[in-house]
Amino acid sequence: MGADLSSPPLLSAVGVSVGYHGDAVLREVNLTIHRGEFWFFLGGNGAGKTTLVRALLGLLPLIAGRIDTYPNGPLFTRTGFVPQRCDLNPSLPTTVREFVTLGLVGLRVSRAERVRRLGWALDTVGLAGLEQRSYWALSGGQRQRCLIARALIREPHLLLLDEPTTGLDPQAEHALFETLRRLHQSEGRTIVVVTHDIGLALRYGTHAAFFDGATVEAGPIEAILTRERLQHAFGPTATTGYGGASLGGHP
Amino acid sequence: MIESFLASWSLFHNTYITGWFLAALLSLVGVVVVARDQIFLGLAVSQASLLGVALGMWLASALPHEPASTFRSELWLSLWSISFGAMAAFLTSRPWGLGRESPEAITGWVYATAASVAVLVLSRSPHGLEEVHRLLSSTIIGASATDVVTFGFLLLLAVVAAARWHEAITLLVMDADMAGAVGLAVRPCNTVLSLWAAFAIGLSIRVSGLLFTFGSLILPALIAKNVVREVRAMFWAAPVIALATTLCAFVLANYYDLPPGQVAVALQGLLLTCAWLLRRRE
Repeated sequence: MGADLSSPPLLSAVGVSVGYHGDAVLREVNLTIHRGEFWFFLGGNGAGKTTLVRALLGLLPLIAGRIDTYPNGPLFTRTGFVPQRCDLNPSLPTTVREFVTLGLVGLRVSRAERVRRLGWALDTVGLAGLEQRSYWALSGGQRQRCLIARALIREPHLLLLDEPTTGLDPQAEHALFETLRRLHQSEGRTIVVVTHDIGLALRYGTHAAFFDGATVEAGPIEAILTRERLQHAFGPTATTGYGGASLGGHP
Repeated sequence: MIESFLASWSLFHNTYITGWFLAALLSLVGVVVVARDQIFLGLAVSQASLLGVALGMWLASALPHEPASTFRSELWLSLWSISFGAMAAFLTSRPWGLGRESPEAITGWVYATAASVAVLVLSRSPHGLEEVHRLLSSTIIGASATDVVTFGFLLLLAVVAAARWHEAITLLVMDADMAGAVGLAVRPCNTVLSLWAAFAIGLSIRVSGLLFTFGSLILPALIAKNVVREVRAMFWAAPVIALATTLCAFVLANYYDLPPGQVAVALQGLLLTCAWLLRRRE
């Protein structure tokens, strides 16, 4: 698995098989996520990336195996989740403040602490001062950052983002990942991003889980994103176009 | 007008108080229905509850030796009403349910079937059809002291639940995936909300009929949605609007000798139109 053993683990998937209606989408998944790592879950459509995230969050029952959390206990109190889509009823009135503070559901937080966390979360994602703005008056990129702020307000040890760049233009995507980089480097948050984009993983990631068939290979990014593996999964052109980012394996 | 209303208090106070409690209770349930954009589902559950009342009456009349006191009792009819409302809520909440149809298709089937069968089962009963027509056209006149206590208690429960869990309910109806990720048991919570809605609607149908029940369920919440800026505000705005409009409606209905339920719903419909126009101007 190749995880960094110098930092304490946050969670481990041990021999996990998971799927829907008894049919396994993923089999025998083994991975350990340690504090301070920046993970990318990579793979094609339908490879099971979101399925594993749902299993890690406890939203999907396991067919086999187990998921250990450290310290032992429910993961949700220490996790922030940014879903792939937020199918909000567009006729519902809501402000940035309400939308983001809904991330505190399930936590006991004082009024003063709520205000502090809201300010911090909005400041972190670059939406400071927009508390009273209608959620529907925001641009697509700002809404995406709102989703991240809703996850951040929990002050999570682990931040899980499922396809966070969907619908974002390159500028908004860059701004989003710079925010994540800051959270990772200066605050030591553990981050897991589900994406198709190998370039993003090479630029920002420390670890990767590569979904191919029903199996998952997980470990340090240079060990996982090898030319051989990418060309096997995506074809001979898969390893071109990543600029200065380096791939592991043979040239 | 006010004096006339006050003069009628001794005769109709149970009706008035029950109407206010019912309107406030249903408007709180309606916040969830409206937030989920399940308005037609609310109508289908109401109609299914009415079918329950009709079947309860039919069964009572079909028994050879009628144990009248039991089978014609309010409790007996309420149980049927609540049971059918709950069944409708259960059926319409399963997207892969009957024949893998969409929830909308199941909702349409529940509404159409319940509406027709309710009339058919009582078509040969001399008083049955009259009762169905009474329930369809809605009249809250005749509410008893028991109704006042029952709906007062249910309203108190709903207010406490909304005050305690409005954020969790809001997250559940806005983003079920996120609700699950923060540790809410989404399916059990949804089941509890559906059963609570069916319970409130089922009890209300028997007392106030279809129109007042459905109107109070959706109109105050829809008005609130158009005049407030956050979902959490809908939890207090909808009951306040429901209480204010039914208070005005009962005063007007008494003065002009009109059916109070219809006046309340018409007034709420008018207010909703104003709210839409106001929002459009913004």
